Amino acid sequence: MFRSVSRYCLPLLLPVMLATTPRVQAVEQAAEFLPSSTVLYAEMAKPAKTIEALLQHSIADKVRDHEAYQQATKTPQYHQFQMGLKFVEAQLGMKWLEAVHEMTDGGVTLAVDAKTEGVALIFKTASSESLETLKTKVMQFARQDAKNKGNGDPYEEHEYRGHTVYKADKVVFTTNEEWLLIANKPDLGRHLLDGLLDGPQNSLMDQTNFQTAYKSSKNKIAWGYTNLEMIRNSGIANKVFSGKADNPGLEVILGGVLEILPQAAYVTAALDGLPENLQLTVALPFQPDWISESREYYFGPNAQGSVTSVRTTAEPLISLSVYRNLSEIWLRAGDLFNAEINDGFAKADATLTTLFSGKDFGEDILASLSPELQLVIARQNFSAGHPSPEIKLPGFALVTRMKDVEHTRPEFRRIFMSFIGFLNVVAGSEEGRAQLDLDLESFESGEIISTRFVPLAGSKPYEQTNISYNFTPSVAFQDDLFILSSSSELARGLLSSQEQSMKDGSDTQKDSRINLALNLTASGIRRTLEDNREHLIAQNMLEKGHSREEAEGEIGIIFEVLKLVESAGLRVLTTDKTFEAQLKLSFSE
Amino acid sequence: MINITQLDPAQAWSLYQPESPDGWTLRQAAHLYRRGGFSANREQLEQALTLNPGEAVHQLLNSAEESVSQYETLAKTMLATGNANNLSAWWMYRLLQTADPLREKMTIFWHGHFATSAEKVTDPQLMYHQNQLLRSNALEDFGSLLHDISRDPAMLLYLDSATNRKAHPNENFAREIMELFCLGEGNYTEQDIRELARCFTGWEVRANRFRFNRYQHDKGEKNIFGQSGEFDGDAGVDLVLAHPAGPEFICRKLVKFLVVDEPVPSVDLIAPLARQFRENGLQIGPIVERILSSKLFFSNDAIGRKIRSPIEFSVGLLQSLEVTTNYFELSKRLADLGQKLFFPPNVKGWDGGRTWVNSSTLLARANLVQDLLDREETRFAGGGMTDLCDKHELHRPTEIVDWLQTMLLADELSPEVRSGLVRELESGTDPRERRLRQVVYLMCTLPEFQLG
Repeated sequence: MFRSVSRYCLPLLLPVMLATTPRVQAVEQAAEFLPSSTVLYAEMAKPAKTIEALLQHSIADKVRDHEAYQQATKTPQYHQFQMGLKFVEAQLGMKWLEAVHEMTDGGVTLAVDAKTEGVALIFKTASSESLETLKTKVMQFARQDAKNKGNGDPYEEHEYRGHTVYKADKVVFTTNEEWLLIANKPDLGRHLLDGLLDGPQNSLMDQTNFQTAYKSSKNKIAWGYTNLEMIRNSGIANKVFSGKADNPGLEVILGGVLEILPQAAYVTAALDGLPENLQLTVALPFQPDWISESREYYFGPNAQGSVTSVRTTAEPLISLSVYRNLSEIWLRAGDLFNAEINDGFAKADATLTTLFSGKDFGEDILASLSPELQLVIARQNFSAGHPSPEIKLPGFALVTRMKDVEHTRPEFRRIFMSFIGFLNVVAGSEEGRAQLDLDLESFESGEIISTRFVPLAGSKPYEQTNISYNFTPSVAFQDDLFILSSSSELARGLLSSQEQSMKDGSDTQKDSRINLALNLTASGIRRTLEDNREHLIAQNMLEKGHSREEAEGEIGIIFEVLKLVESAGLRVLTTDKTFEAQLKLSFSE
Repeated sequence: MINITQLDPAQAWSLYQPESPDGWTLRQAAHLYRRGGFSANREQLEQALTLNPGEAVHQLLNSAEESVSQYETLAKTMLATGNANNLSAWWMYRLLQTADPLREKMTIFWHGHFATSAEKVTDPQLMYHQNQLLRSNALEDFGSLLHDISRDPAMLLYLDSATNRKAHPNENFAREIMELFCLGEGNYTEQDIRELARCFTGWEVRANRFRFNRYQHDKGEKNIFGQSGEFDGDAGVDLVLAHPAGPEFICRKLVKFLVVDEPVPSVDLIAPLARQFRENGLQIGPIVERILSSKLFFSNDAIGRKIRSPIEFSVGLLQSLEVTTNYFELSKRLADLGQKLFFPPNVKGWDGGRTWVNSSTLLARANLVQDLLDREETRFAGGGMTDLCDKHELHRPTEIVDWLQTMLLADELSPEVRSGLVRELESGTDPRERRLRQVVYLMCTLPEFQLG
């Protein structure tokens, strides 16, 4: 173990080596001496501070207090790890976090160079002195360890421009003042040292795109940049840049990204937000005129499409607001998909047109709905005296607006009732399947056509445990608002929330920049899983061959992990210049 | 050695009493557990040796009542998925964990005897209900079992007998109860089938429940097996139960299931069992006990003379080596071997015997073992094979191979094969765990392991 520790720690500690050659121009960033042919760049400004913040975070306290963690600390593996760590600290003469701080105070950079096909790892340490100290200790230890085992010197030494360059396995490394340079290709290593000694010349930082992108790197925990243009030109991953998904599901989710990828010069990713949350932002340059007609369904006319957030129930499990013109995607299928998928669309179109009484599904039905869609998923309450399925699924509902209420509302109402009739015929043909009864519920400003199960003759509610009892399909109307829900309870909740928000004057909120907004609440997810705890345990027992106690323990850990998180969200938005996806994870108090 | 074709029936079914303490061996105890269950771990075998054969069988027959609530809870959640494949995994779990292996073994016997498939009976709840019915009657009164199964919705749906009107009596159930369930071919006439079918008129399934529709019942006089009367369905079942051919038919099937596949036992050999079965009011348990404690059962004509069914093959392996694994995958793979629980191939059930093995199923057996050994979820006594060996204090390769041989095989290995397996453990650069698993794999793919 110690041998491997020394081998891999040594390169990290080498910045101690002092260069004698004076620098031509002070270099502050690794990007200033990385080659212009760098295709991937990632940096962490203050790794030690990030680690420290994580260790001091309330979540870390909760993890440390957790029984599973306490148990893990009693295992032989943990003790072995602790012994190894203490040994390393003794060798270095400082605590490991202090060593990380010394090694990475000026930041750590990882880069991939297209020209040499090499990977570089660059450390800017706290000072040349501390780098020298650490390097000396680790190299001494590694050499002594090799000697004790009867092996030769693990490092080859070479001279280059007055600097000692070390070679260990397939890695070369050297130091200059507070910089430690590591590369897996000698050519790349030489280029880095040349750049450092000669000062910035035709470096990554000289690239206009990088300069523009780099402005977003300030105060971030970590930041990354990928040169898409270079990747495109190399012919790698042509499929990704083809602009086509050839998969309807993927198209609806990522169609916009696929439209931008063939034209964007680069993509950046930034991580920040600690300690309250963690936020990852991925951004691509964007120009509205890049959008072709076939992808107008995704961005809207002139890329101005945006979501409307309709007020939902008190605590939805998941809510998704998205701009997608479903009619357009249906009608433009010929431009977006291959022949096989289009055949599928044609068949589906024929069937749906029949179902919708001869009305054209794309032109008449989908086109009658607003492209501002909302999907709400919420936990269901299965009250006593009613069927309570053994597997309790959350209810889900599509919320949107009708363009032509006068014509669309009666049409949807009639189609829905026919659909329930069809379901009852199917259920009737199967022994033991309960049928649905329709109810018309009037609200102050709307109506719900809800359904409820007709109890099977002689059966008690506790016997009605089939998964189908999760579904009591319903539709609700309120002015131009249209709700299609898998459960009557959710439809009622959504409609009453909507009525309340109209009274409050907070009906809808439109954000002109957001194309998609997804929110997940951990407590809701936890409660839904809690409803199904028994099923999860049974599944675990049969899937992993666990005893009940083992299964309960494993499922319990999932619940504990969920307690650490409050919510998660994804927002996809466009500005005049960028297309961004923001992923945010909020921690619980 | 006893030759089954020339046996004295009285001697064959008399109680096996070893002439000396050495006459009751680990091999025989393992044989008892393989046939009266699926297998046993080392502790169970050692415990069996402290009893005499008759006591060991009696103990197997009177296993401590197990707590069924955990199985019921598991079943409930699997039923909620509406997928009978999950029910199959549930039963695999129960087979592995049960404290009453003989009852489970006999439940499988009756599952094959009163074959009903989830392929056709699409509601798993009905299949589960039938399974519980078979389990609770597995070692009890055959008459009650037959009466119950006659009204079982899953059975009636499987035999297309959900509706049976007096104008058009459905002959399916009447035919099967005579041909497959109770008497066998040649013991009834087509006229008997037609008349018995009239008895069952009005027996229907509605909303997954048995219902007697008195308006559709033919109340007229019927003539069955030479007896006349206004028989209803239950009376019809009683007539079949009273037929003299019934006990021999059932006992022959039990002997085939528990003792030998081939050759077919003679009428004379079965006669003492059939007589006892009739005289004790068709009680199943005592007949099973007599078969399992007989001289014939513990003879070399029975040990290692049956081809293991896929269930015996897989559950036997798992129990012997204290294995837990992914039961969903295991039950899925059993279909490749030709025996998936809750999915018998047809109304006759599984043929068994030589039909279990052919080039395709042998390959599937080898693949199943390999998959089990490779699978991340597979654990031996909660750890790896190394842990299992440590638990049983097995250190030297010869000890390990001999131990595995006792646990897994009915017959001894040839010296060449044994030394080959020992060499496999001794040599090689693979880690010990891998070599141990390789030896288990090699042993399970031997022809000897296919016999139980």
